[in-house]
Amino acid sequence: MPAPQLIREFLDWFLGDIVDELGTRKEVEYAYKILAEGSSADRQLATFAKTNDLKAVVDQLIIETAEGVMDVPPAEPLPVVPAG
Amino acid sequence: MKAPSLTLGVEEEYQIIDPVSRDLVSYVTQMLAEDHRVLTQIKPELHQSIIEVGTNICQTPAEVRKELVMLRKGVMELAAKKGYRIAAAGTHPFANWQTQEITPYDHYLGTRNDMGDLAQRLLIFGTHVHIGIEDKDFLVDACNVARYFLPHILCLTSSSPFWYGRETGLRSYRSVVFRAFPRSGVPPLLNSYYDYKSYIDTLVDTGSIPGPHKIWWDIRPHGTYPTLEFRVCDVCTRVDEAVSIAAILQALIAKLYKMRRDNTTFRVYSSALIEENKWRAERNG
Repeated sequence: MPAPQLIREFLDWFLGDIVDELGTRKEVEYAYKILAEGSSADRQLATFAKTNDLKAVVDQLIIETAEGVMDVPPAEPLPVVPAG
Repeated sequence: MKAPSLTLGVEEEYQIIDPVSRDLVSYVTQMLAEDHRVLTQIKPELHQSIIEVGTNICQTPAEVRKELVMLRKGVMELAAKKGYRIAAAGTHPFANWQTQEITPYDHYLGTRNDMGDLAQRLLIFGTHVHIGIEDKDFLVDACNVARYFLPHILCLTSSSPFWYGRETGLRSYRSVVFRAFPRSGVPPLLNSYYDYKSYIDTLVDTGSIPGPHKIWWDIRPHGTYPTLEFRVCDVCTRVDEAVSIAAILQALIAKLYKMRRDNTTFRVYSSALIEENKWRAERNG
């Protein structure tokens, strides 16, 4: 069985009743966003596929790590690679 | 049986980054020498480029969020004093593990001596989630059953697709690096709390390990706190992700307690089958 389907089953069928008792449905259901939009690994791979630059991946990690925490000053801009 | 308190505690390991080279920098000992309100909740790790934080004991995922935001902010402020940044991912995309400095404390130099190059290579970053379970019998029951869900959790947190400048073809390369350590991975089935204790005692009595903190399983009854500790996760990049994982694991234990109380059970799987699922989680996320 594909992993996303297995995880959905785990969240819906196995944890479905308990999350309302605990009042944590909102936090638990954030996992659906991860399933829909990809884990951090998926996002890093997407950035690398787009930029072919691991430094751009690091920049993305710095920004996502600070999401909801603070605005981080930008890193030194990466040199622009000429097209072609 | 007393109901578990289901308290939450989360530890996160972060990368200290030079914003120009984007590489890791060895800076943790200087950060610890600063004056900042979060210092009591910060620890060094094996390498000088790793900084670890731990929340206070929380009752709810909402409290975990508050703590993690406060801790990440504090660590970012400390790093910013030198112009450095903080990133959360299971591996750094291109850092060279061979040249990383080991934190110059006896404990870590000892680990380097004991583990050789395996310690040098342990340039990986994880999230650990503790769930409060006071009853020792239920602690071991919950550990046995929750093993099955380790791959599910790893899928959601995978954040280490790169290693030493290369795309690894895996989503969680950190898991593969950690697997080289002894006493790591999916733990064996434990017959009872006594069984677990006697395993630890045997290793300690024979001088194999100094204590239970050298058991590096993906999930373990903690040696000091009355908690079940989940260690399988790559460090979560976003706070939202860490909070969600904490909420899921708390709900899992609450559910297992409810089933146990109602005298229903969830099947206990063999380690071989769980490792098979975990491999797929490492590879494909």
